[in-house]
Amino acid sequence: MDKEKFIQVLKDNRGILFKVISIYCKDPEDRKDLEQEILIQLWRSFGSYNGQVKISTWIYKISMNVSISFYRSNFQRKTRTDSINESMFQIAHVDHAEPLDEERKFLHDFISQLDEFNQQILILYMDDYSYEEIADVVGITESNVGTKINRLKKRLQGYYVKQNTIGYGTR
Amino acid sequence: MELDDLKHSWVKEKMELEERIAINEKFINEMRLDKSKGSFDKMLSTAILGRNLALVYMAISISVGIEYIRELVYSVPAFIGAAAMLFSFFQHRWLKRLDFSKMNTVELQKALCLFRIHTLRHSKYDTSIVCLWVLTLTPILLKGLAIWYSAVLLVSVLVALILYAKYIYNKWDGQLKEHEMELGKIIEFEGN
Repeated sequence: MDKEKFIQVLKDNRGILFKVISIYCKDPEDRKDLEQEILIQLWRSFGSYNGQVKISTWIYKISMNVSISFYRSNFQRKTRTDSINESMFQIAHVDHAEPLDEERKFLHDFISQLDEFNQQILILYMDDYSYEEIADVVGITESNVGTKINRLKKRLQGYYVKQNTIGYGTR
Repeated sequence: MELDDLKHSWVKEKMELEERIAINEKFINEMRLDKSKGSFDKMLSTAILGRNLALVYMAISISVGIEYIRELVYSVPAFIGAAAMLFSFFQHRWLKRLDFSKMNTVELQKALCLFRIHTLRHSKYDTSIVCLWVLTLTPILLKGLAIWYSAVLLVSVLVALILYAKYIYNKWDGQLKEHEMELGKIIEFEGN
């Protein structure tokens, strides 16, 4: 299989990969394990990718499947096959990094308190995936996707009211 | 605050991430991706290997049985051991590798849960079958040894197996309950 093409696909979709990994894994060391797991599964499936779905959907499907399995699993995760202790990402250092704006912080906090399946639905919804596409990735019906998104919207409103009541943004 | 109002923040963050993040090509090029196995693959491969080894053990028992066909005290237990291993193989015949790219999330998580539940539920039988297999070959293994020595060896092995089984069964029961609860949550999410 063509590793250069594979790396190009990763480059083109690095934002998706970084976001999924960051949401599903907070521990920096576990994150490297998760990155490796995702890379292995992406590589394995790369040869059989036939273009029937968008490449970004394919990336989302595999990275989310691995991340959620990783998140839910109980077994020992210290089974890296490679001894390289590096990340698949290189993050440019920003001298004067601005603090996360309130809206983004609020959204991150809201996402982090959802369960892994609702996180998945929310991520895809925020990336403008249709209900049909979300249903296909998640494995539930389209109407169920609609129901869950409506619930998430109400939950967000409730979370916003709660956070404002306890002084969110004034910490 | 509406969820849709936050979409512009989401998109802006993604664009900023893409400006700041690069893929570590050196790291990926150095990874032996063709030889790498994910931890889930290893877990399933181990189970599939165990299942296939049952056929190897069955073959061993059958050859012993045929070798000592005229001595029923050895051949009958050997054939019983072979039958037990064949039964074990069929118990696990549905095990197969999971494709993370083709399965949707709910399907995959259910499959993983069911795999863990199946493994735990059958662990007791599998351990018993291995013990039975060892016992069925014991007559031939101890052939020629003094009776008292054989008896001591057999009893020691049996006691060790029973103590180990008692410890491990309690552990498995706890894990089994957890995985059954997880499966329940996935089914609830799927339906509602």
